[in-house]
Amino acid sequence: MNVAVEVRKLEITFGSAAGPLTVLDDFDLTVKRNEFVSLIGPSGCGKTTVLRCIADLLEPTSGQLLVNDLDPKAAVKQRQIGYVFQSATLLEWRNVLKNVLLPLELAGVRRKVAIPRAQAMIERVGLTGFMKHYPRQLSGGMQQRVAIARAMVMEPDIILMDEPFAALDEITRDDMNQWLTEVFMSTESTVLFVTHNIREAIQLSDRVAVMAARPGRIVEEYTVPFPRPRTAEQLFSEEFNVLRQQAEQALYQAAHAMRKAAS
Amino acid sequence: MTTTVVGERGALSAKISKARKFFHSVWPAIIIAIIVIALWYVASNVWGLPKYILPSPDLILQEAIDNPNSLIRNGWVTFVEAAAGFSIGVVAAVFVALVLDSWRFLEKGTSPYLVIGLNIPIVAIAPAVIIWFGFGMASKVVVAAVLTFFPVAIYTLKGLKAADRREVDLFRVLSASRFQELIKLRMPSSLPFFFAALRVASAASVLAAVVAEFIQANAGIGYLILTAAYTNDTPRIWAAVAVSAGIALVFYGIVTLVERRVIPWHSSVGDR
Ligand SMILES: Nc1ncnc2c1ncn2[C@@H]1O[C@H](COP(=O)(O)OP(=O)(O)OP(=O)(O)O)[C@@H](O)[C@H]1O
Ligand SMILES: [Mg+2]
Repeated sequence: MNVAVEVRKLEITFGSAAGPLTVLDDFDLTVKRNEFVSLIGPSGCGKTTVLRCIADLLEPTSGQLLVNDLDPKAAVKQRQIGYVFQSATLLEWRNVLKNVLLPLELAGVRRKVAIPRAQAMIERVGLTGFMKHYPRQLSGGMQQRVAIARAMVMEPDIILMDEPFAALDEITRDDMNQWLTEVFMSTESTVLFVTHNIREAIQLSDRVAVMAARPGRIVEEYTVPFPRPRTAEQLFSEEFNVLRQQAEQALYQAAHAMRKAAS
Repeated sequence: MTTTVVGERGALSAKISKARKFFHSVWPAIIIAIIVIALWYVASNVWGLPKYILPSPDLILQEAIDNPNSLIRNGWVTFVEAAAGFSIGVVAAVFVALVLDSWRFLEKGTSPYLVIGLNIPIVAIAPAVIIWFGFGMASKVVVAAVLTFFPVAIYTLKGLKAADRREVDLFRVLSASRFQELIKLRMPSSLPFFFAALRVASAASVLAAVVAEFIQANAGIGYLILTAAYTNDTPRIWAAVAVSAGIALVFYGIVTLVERRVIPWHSSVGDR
């Protein structure tokens, strides 16, 4: 039970008018319990596709997937997975509080218990004054924070995050990263985090996996040696820089290979 | 103390700004109406547009003031027919949409006929309906219900399938049951479609009742127009037309008000 997510020889092939498209092939990934792993890779390499398989939104063409030793369908049924989508995907007819209440409602949690829980979660993402606001009244970053609160309100074992901070400016993003680190340290969660931003990936993760495309697979993995909470010295250290450069190079090569294959 | 004063003032100014917003949203329509009526008046009284083609607006008003009883009585009949037909049509349409939505086979089997139904000309079905349901109000209610049913059923069904794919994914990850997905996702997503159809149907139901009365009736706006036409009483005809337009406008207004209350979050509703 020390492994939270286990992906073995995953293959995903989409049928399309132009013929079959193999997006993932021979994709392996293991995420340990209470580990924070980032997945980076060029756009279109299949990062979202990996998350969708783990969350049982997509049937693998072949390969094995285990989530807490269960198949994804069972893990979803037991509400062990929280998913923050690439876009906030808030329900526009529900205010912030009701959007965060949604998972609790669907799980049949009593309102008396559910409301304080949702309120506490909203407080944690720093939106206490906005509980009665509707999604269209919030900025993109605030919407994304509501989406995170919603994904975490059930305290799922495993949280999948698909570029949750892509829409934020650098400063807010740093803020959110620090916040996420705090939340991560205070829970037993396991996080699989997709991003384009190498610095963010290193700052947050225990491990960074770099993907290449066509077909999508992991080509490099880096273990981040810094303990948490991560200090400014660490983030501006030589060691951090070296790691960052290595990852950047791997990503560059992956993207370059993709362009070459495309042309 | 100061806070209460500010609070009251806040409430009052909110009320004022609401009234102002309402005024801002309707005044262009009022201005247009005034211009059209003024031009019409000039056409009748200065340019000499003959009365039997289009009587001057003041003659129509005079007719309404002189003979209000028959306008009110017949207008009421049409109002009740249209309102009853509209209500029955909406309830039936929502029921059918929900059934078809959960039963793919039936949906596929009936959808071409729904489209045909949407394009039924009233004049074509009204005589048959009158034969079945008699000369009284019942047949007009049925015609209005039929004309309400098809657009509302079709658009509600469409709305039930209009939920964003990502939102459907969200519900799947949250392990929602099919019933929860219907109640908490697909029904709310369908509301903007539903209300758009209601707007169309609100005017159509009045039109349906009037046309059905035209074919055979002993009361109602259509009946009034027909009898006035026998005597070439054009002011009376136009007064009756104005009443039926007024009824349709009231229906439309009610639908819009309800829509504002029910889906204030939707972009089709007022200011953002
Ligand atoms: N349902 C689908 N049908 C067909 N092709 C698909 C489908 N979903 C994804 N793809 C293809 O799979 C590839 C990978 O898509 P995916 O969304 O996983 O990329 P990504 O790595 O998340 O990219 P980005 O960083 O831009 O979000 C793309 O080429 C895309 O066109
Ligand atoms: Mg993606």
